[in-house]
Amino acid sequence: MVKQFGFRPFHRMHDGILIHITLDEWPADVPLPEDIKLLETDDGVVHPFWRIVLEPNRTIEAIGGIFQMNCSRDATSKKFEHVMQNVGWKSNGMLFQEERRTTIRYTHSIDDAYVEVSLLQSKDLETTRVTISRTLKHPYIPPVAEEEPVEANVEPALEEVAK
Amino acid sequence: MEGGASIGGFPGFEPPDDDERYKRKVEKSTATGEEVNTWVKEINNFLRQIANKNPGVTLEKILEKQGLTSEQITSFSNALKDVHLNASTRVGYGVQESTAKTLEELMRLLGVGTW
Repeated sequence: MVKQFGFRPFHRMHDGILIHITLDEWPADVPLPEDIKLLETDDGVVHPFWRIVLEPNRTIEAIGGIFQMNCSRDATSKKFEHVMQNVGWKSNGMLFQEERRTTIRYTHSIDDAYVEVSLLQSKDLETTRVTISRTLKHPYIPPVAEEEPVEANVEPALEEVAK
Repeated sequence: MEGGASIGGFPGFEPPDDDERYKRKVEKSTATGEEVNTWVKEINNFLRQIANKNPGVTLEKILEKQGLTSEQITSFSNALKDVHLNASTRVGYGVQESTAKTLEELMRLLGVGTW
Protein backbone atom coordinates (compact mmCIF):
# COMPACT_ATOMS: atom_id res chain seq x y z
CA MET A 1 0.00 0.00 0.00
CA VAL A 2 1.31 3.43 -0.84
CA LYS A 3 0.86 5.81 2.02
CA GLN A 4 -0.29 9.29 1.09
CA PHE A 5 2.03 11.42 3.19
CA GLY A 6 1.25 14.77 1.68
CA PHE A 7 3.45 17.66 2.72
CA ARG A 8 4.97 17.32 6.14
CA PRO A 9 7.74 18.83 8.24
CA PHE A 10 11.27 17.61 7.65
CA HIS A 11 14.73 18.48 8.86
CA ARG A 12 17.36 19.51 6.33
CA MET A 13 20.51 17.67 7.40
CA HIS A 14 24.04 18.37 6.17
CA ASP A 15 23.85 15.36 3.84
CA GLY A 16 20.15 14.84 3.20
CA ILE A 17 16.81 15.00 4.97
CA LEU A 18 15.27 13.53 8.10
CA ILE A 19 11.55 13.01 8.60
CA HIS A 20 9.96 11.90 11.84
CA ILE A 21 7.39 9.14 11.42
CA THR A 22 4.65 7.68 13.58
CA LEU A 23 4.54 4.12 14.83
CA ASP A 24 1.88 3.37 12.16
CA GLU A 25 4.40 4.36 9.49
CA TRP A 26 7.16 2.11 10.79
CA PRO A 27 8.19 -0.20 7.89
CA ALA A 28 6.36 -3.54 7.89
CA ASP A 29 9.51 -5.38 6.81
CA VAL A 30 10.99 -4.68 10.23
CA PRO A 31 8.26 -6.20 12.41
CA LEU A 32 7.89 -5.17 16.01
CA PRO A 33 6.65 -7.34 18.88
CA GLU A 34 3.01 -6.58 19.73
CA ASP A 35 3.68 -5.23 23.20
CA ILE A 36 6.40 -2.77 22.18
CA LYS A 37 5.89 0.96 22.71
CA LEU A 38 7.74 4.10 21.80
CA LEU A 39 10.16 5.40 24.41
CA GLU A 40 8.58 8.11 26.53
CA THR A 41 10.95 10.71 27.96
CA ASP A 42 10.53 13.78 30.14
CA ASP A 43 9.60 15.78 27.05
CA GLY A 44 7.27 13.28 25.45
CA VAL A 45 7.29 10.32 23.11
CA VAL A 46 10.37 9.90 20.92
CA HIS A 47 9.20 9.32 17.36
CA PRO A 48 11.21 7.17 14.94
CA PHE A 49 12.91 8.79 11.98
CA TRP A 50 13.33 8.11 8.29
CA ARG A 51 16.53 9.56 6.95
CA ILE A 52 17.80 9.85 3.41
CA VAL A 53 21.55 10.43 3.11
CA LEU A 54 22.81 11.59 -0.28
CA GLU A 55 26.37 10.56 -1.10
CA PRO A 56 28.08 10.93 -4.50
CA ASN A 57 27.83 7.24 -5.42
CA ARG A 58 25.01 5.97 -3.25
CA THR A 59 21.85 6.90 -1.41
CA ILE A 60 21.48 5.60 2.12
CA GLU A 61 18.03 5.06 3.56
CA ALA A 62 17.96 4.66 7.31
CA ILE A 63 15.04 4.06 9.64
CA GLY A 64 15.68 4.38 13.35
CA GLY A 65 13.70 4.35 16.55
CA ILE A 66 13.92 3.95 20.31
CA PHE A 67 11.34 1.73 21.99
CA GLN A 68 10.56 0.16 25.30
CA MET A 69 9.49 -3.34 26.31
CA ASN A 70 8.09 -4.16 29.72
CA CYS A 71 10.01 -7.39 30.02
CA SER A 72 13.57 -8.58 30.47
CA ARG A 73 16.25 -8.41 27.83
CA ASP A 74 16.20 -12.17 27.28
CA ALA A 75 12.42 -12.21 26.77
CA THR A 76 12.68 -9.22 24.42
CA SER A 77 15.48 -10.88 22.48
CA LYS A 78 13.40 -14.04 21.98
CA LYS A 79 10.40 -12.03 20.78
CA PHE A 80 12.54 -10.20 18.23
CA GLU A 81 14.14 -13.39 17.02
CA HIS A 82 10.66 -14.80 16.41
CA VAL A 83 9.16 -11.83 14.55
CA MET A 84 12.29 -11.16 12.50
CA GLN A 85 12.68 -14.77 11.38
CA ASN A 86 9.07 -14.77 10.20
CA VAL A 87 9.91 -12.22 7.50
CA GLY A 88 13.26 -13.63 6.43
CA TRP A 89 15.76 -11.78 8.61
CA LYS A 90 18.57 -13.90 10.03
CA SER A 91 20.86 -13.01 12.90
CA ASN A 92 23.42 -15.65 11.83
CA GLY A 93 24.91 -15.54 15.30
CA MET A 94 25.85 -11.91 14.77
CA LEU A 95 25.29 -11.06 18.37
CA PHE A 96 27.26 -9.12 20.94
CA GLN A 97 26.44 -9.61 24.58
CA GLU A 98 27.48 -7.43 27.49
CA GLU A 99 26.38 -7.32 31.07
CA ARG A 100 23.27 -5.26 30.34
CA ARG A 101 23.30 -4.75 26.59
CA THR A 102 22.79 -7.15 23.70
CA THR A 103 23.36 -6.02 20.14
CA ILE A 104 22.00 -8.18 17.32
CA ARG A 105 22.65 -7.61 13.63
CA TYR A 106 20.12 -9.10 11.23
CA THR A 107 20.81 -9.51 7.56
CA HIS A 108 18.47 -10.43 4.72
CA SER A 109 19.03 -13.02 2.06
CA ILE A 110 17.63 -10.99 -0.80
CA ASP A 111 19.85 -7.94 -0.57
CA ASP A 112 22.50 -6.34 1.60
CA ALA A 113 20.01 -4.65 3.91
CA TYR A 114 20.67 -4.97 7.60
CA VAL A 115 18.91 -4.27 10.86
CA GLU A 116 20.67 -3.59 14.13
CA VAL A 117 18.77 -4.13 17.35
CA SER A 118 20.32 -3.01 20.61
CA LEU A 119 18.68 -4.16 23.84
CA LEU A 120 19.55 -2.35 27.04
CA GLN A 121 18.16 -3.90 30.19
CA SER A 122 17.15 -1.84 33.22
CA LYS A 123 18.78 -2.64 36.55
CA ASP A 124 15.50 -3.97 37.98
CA LEU A 125 15.29 -6.36 34.98
CA GLU A 126 11.70 -5.29 34.37
CA THR A 127 12.11 -3.16 31.26
CA THR A 128 14.33 -3.15 28.19
CA ARG A 129 15.15 -0.16 26.03
CA VAL A 130 15.24 -1.19 22.39
CA THR A 131 17.14 0.77 19.75
CA ILE A 132 16.45 -0.33 16.17
CA SER A 133 17.94 0.83 12.90
CA ARG A 134 17.43 -0.50 9.40
CA THR A 135 19.90 0.54 6.74
CA LEU A 136 19.50 0.20 2.99
CA LYS A 137 22.23 1.31 0.61
CA HIS A 138 21.11 2.12 -2.92
CA PRO A 139 23.87 2.50 -5.52
CA TYR A 140 23.69 5.72 -7.50
CA ILE A 141 25.23 6.37 -10.89
CA PRO A 142 25.14 10.08 -11.66
CA PRO A 143 23.63 10.77 -15.09
CA VAL A 144 26.13 11.52 -17.84
CA ALA A 145 26.04 15.21 -18.68
CA GLU A 146 24.32 15.99 -21.96
CA GLU A 147 26.78 16.99 -24.67
CA GLU A 148 26.55 20.63 -25.61
CA PRO A 149 25.77 21.10 -29.30
CA VAL A 150 28.61 22.54 -31.35
CA GLU A 151 27.78 26.02 -32.47
CA ALA A 152 28.72 25.31 -36.12
CA ASN A 153 26.03 22.66 -36.27
CA VAL A 154 23.37 24.93 -34.86
CA GLU A 155 23.67 27.85 -37.26
CA PRO A 156 22.75 26.02 -40.51
CA ALA A 157 19.69 24.63 -38.73
CA LEU A 158 18.67 28.14 -37.71
CA GLU A 159 19.15 29.38 -41.26
CA GLU A 160 16.94 26.59 -42.43
CA VAL A 161 14.25 27.73 -40.03
CA ALA A 162 14.59 31.38 -41.20
CA LYS A 163 13.88 30.33 -44.79
CA MET B 1 32.92 -0.90 30.99
CA GLU B 2 29.41 -1.78 32.01
CA GLY B 3 26.94 -1.27 29.16
CA GLY B 4 24.08 0.92 30.25
CA ALA B 5 25.74 2.58 33.19
CA SER B 6 25.48 5.96 31.51
CA ILE B 7 23.05 7.57 29.09
CA GLY B 8 23.18 5.36 26.04
CA GLY B 9 25.65 3.16 27.86
CA PHE B 10 28.51 5.38 26.76
CA PRO B 11 31.52 4.66 28.95
CA GLY B 12 33.07 7.50 30.90
CA PHE B 13 29.83 9.44 31.24
CA GLU B 14 28.33 7.74 34.26
CA PRO B 15 26.28 9.97 36.55
CA PRO B 16 27.85 10.90 39.91
CA ASP B 17 26.75 8.68 42.80
CA ASP B 18 25.16 11.58 44.67
CA ASP B 19 23.06 12.80 41.74
CA GLU B 20 19.88 10.75 42.16
CA ARG B 21 17.92 12.75 39.57
CA TYR B 22 20.53 12.20 36.89
CA LYS B 23 20.88 8.53 37.82
CA ARG B 24 17.11 8.04 37.52
CA LYS B 25 17.06 9.72 34.11
CA VAL B 26 19.83 7.45 32.89
CA GLU B 27 18.24 4.34 34.32
CA LYS B 28 14.81 5.08 32.85
CA SER B 29 16.12 6.67 29.62
CA THR B 30 13.90 9.69 30.21
CA ALA B 31 16.41 12.44 29.38
CA THR B 32 14.96 15.35 27.43
CA GLY B 33 16.24 16.26 23.98
CA GLU B 34 18.10 19.26 25.40
CA GLU B 35 19.80 17.05 27.96
CA VAL B 36 20.78 14.61 25.21
CA ASN B 37 22.15 17.55 23.21
CA THR B 38 24.33 18.68 26.12
CA TRP B 39 25.52 15.16 26.72
CA VAL B 40 26.35 14.56 23.02
CA LYS B 41 28.31 17.84 22.98
CA GLU B 42 30.40 16.50 25.87
CA ILE B 43 30.97 13.24 24.00
CA ASN B 44 31.94 15.27 20.91
CA ASN B 45 34.55 17.18 22.95
CA PHE B 46 35.86 13.90 24.31
CA LEU B 47 36.08 12.32 20.82
CA ARG B 48 37.61 15.47 19.31
CA GLN B 49 40.46 15.37 21.83
CA ILE B 50 41.06 11.69 21.00
CA ALA B 51 41.02 12.43 17.25
CA ASN B 52 43.33 15.45 17.59
CA LYS B 53 45.87 13.50 19.63
CA ASN B 54 45.82 10.57 17.19
CA PRO B 55 45.52 11.99 13.66
CA GLY B 56 44.71 9.37 11.04
CA VAL B 57 44.34 6.54 13.58
CA THR B 58 41.06 4.64 14.01
CA LEU B 59 39.34 4.41 17.38
CA GLU B 60 39.83 0.66 17.27
CA LYS B 61 43.61 1.04 17.00
CA ILE B 62 43.68 3.74 19.68
CA LEU B 63 41.73 1.56 22.13
CA GLU B 64 43.88 -1.46 21.25
CA LYS B 65 46.93 0.61 22.12
CA GLN B 66 45.29 1.47 25.43
CA GLY B 67 45.13 -2.24 26.18
CA LEU B 68 41.39 -2.78 25.74
CA THR B 69 40.17 -6.21 24.71
CA SER B 70 38.27 -6.72 21.44
CA GLU B 71 35.07 -7.18 23.49
CA GLN B 72 35.62 -3.86 25.21
CA ILE B 73 36.32 -2.15 21.90
CA THR B 74 33.14 -3.58 20.35
CA SER B 75 31.24 -2.51 23.45
CA PHE B 76 32.57 1.04 23.08
CA SER B 77 31.69 1.16 19.36
CA ASN B 78 28.18 -0.20 20.00
CA ALA B 79 27.63 2.39 22.72
CA LEU B 80 28.75 5.09 20.31
CA LYS B 81 26.35 3.82 17.63
CA ASP B 82 23.51 3.93 20.16
CA VAL B 83 24.44 7.50 21.02
CA HIS B 84 24.41 8.37 17.33
CA LEU B 85 20.95 6.88 16.82
CA ASN B 86 19.66 8.57 19.96
CA ALA B 87 20.96 11.93 18.74
CA SER B 88 19.53 11.41 15.22
CA THR B 89 16.11 10.51 16.64
CA ARG B 90 16.00 13.70 18.68
CA VAL B 91 17.11 16.13 15.94
CA GLY B 92 14.68 19.03 16.02
CA TYR B 93 13.42 17.95 19.44
CA GLY B 94 16.15 19.39 21.62
CA VAL B 95 19.13 18.02 19.72
CA GLN B 96 20.67 20.50 17.30
CA GLU B 97 21.48 19.28 13.80
CA SER B 98 25.01 20.70 14.19
CA THR B 99 25.58 18.57 17.31
CA ALA B 100 24.46 15.40 15.51
CA LYS B 101 26.57 16.35 12.47
CA THR B 102 29.72 16.84 14.59
CA LEU B 103 29.20 13.43 16.18
CA GLU B 104 28.86 11.80 12.74
CA GLU B 105 31.98 13.56 11.45
CA LEU B 106 34.03 12.50 14.46
CA MET B 107 32.79 8.91 14.22
CA ARG B 108 33.74 8.84 10.53
CA LEU B 109 37.14 10.37 11.33
CA LEU B 110 37.73 7.66 13.92
CA GLY B 111 36.57 4.88 11.60
CA VAL B 112 33.38 4.03 13.48
CA GLY B 113 30.57 3.27 11.03
CA THR B 114 27.40 5.26 11.39
CA TRP B 115 25.39 3.45 8.72
